[in-house]
Amino acid sequence: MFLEFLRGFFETLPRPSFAGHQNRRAGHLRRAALLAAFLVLTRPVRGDDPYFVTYSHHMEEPGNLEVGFNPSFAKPKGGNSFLGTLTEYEYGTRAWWTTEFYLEGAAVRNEGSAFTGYRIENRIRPLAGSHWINPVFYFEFEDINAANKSLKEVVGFDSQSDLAEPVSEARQEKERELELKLILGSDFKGWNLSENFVAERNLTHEPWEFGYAVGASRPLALEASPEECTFCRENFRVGLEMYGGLGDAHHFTARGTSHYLAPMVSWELPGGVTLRLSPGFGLTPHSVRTVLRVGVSYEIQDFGRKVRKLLH
Amino acid sequence: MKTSIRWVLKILMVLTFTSGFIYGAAPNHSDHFSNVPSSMLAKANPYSGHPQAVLAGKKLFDHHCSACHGRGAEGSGRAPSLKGDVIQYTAPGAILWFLKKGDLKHSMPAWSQLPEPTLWQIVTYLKTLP
Ligand code: HEC
Repeated sequence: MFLEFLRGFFETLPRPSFAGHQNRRAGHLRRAALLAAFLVLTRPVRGDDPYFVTYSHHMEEPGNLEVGFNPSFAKPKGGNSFLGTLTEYEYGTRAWWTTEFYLEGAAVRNEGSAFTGYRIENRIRPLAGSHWINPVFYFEFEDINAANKSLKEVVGFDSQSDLAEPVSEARQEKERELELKLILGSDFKGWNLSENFVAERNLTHEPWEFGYAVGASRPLALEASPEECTFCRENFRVGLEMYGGLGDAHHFTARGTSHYLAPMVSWELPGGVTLRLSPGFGLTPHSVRTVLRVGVSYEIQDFGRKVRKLLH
Repeated sequence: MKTSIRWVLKILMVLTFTSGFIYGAAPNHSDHFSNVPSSMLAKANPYSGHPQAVLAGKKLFDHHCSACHGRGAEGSGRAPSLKGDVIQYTAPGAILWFLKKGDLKHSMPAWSQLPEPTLWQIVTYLKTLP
């Protein structure tokens, strides 16, 4: 499984164009080297929200790039255990506008691994100031295939049987989709409360499908300690999120689809890396019983300016 | 397919214009502290003068603010200096209020995700700057 994990991971890393005519291993090595260079040459800062599915109204700081790697592990009924990987690159285009790019892969036991698509998304915070409820508009285009197992959102009548389809067949099935989200977020006495309403539409056919995600989280301490520390309480955040499908434009319902409840914890290491862990539990027979998600993210400050300097 | 795309483009255009309008109406750079609600102006800093809070505030400043405002808050190409009269003569509650909301139009992030005690620690540190 470890090898499958690595394969799933590398499937999600960007493929440099010069690797096109090289053999596969050389391509993988280059991608690993690129990633290592990225991590070594940059100065990190800390991340914040612990959620895996729910979005809050917090935007990426302008000019910063956050790189995240989020594998999720599960076993659908009637299918093989899998590892869905999601690599994300989140950039603060402006203080009120965040752009994010995702690369996804899947590794399935006894079936092999596949690149399962990409997404590009923009989030806009339309109101200046801080309010009781802060809205953010989210627009996403995704070009993925049915072998995708990142479980980034649940919509319509999504079911664990979709995840049990053999990779070789599922990857032939293209899914070009448009996804809109209304994100509402509030911060109160250290708590963050976030609610997302999701509408997704396959561009070639099928009606709009709907889903939701809600989350609450809080750091273990609201005050910072005076010294740099690894295990102090302020570095840990705990939270709970719930997400699921709401049927489609023909039949708006919370029945006959998947719903999950997932507690989570995040840990900000002094080096600037944030680790997150979340066991998710399926609440309906359509949901996978348990989904284990892990996240590692790293924020690179002033990325935009560094790149512009490099190019000059 | 085409109608969906057209719809999304329409929504995007409306949003872009309305956000431009709202941000356009945001106060001028130098005016950060002119509309502070009186309830915030009256708020006292519970950490005022606490040496431990100054240290914690410095640590938080290094993590969250120094990349833009400079290691010692002297300012950089990205953001102004926080040393000097503006911060010294502004009520602590007004600084807290500004930090929570930021100035998104002018690239100052909103820090409402940091809990209020943490923000007060930062304000305590800012007040010690020469
Ligand atoms: C992404 C860059 C960036 C980061 C990070 C940042 N700021 Fe700012 N900040 C700015 C910019 C740009 C302005 C000026 C906004 C304007 O011109 O209206 C500013 C303005 C301010 C002001 C108002 C100064 C004045 O004279 O009116 C204060 C106070 C401030 N920032 C504090 C902070 C603190 C405290 C932090 C960390 C918690 C922080 N900033 C993090 C970019 C940043």
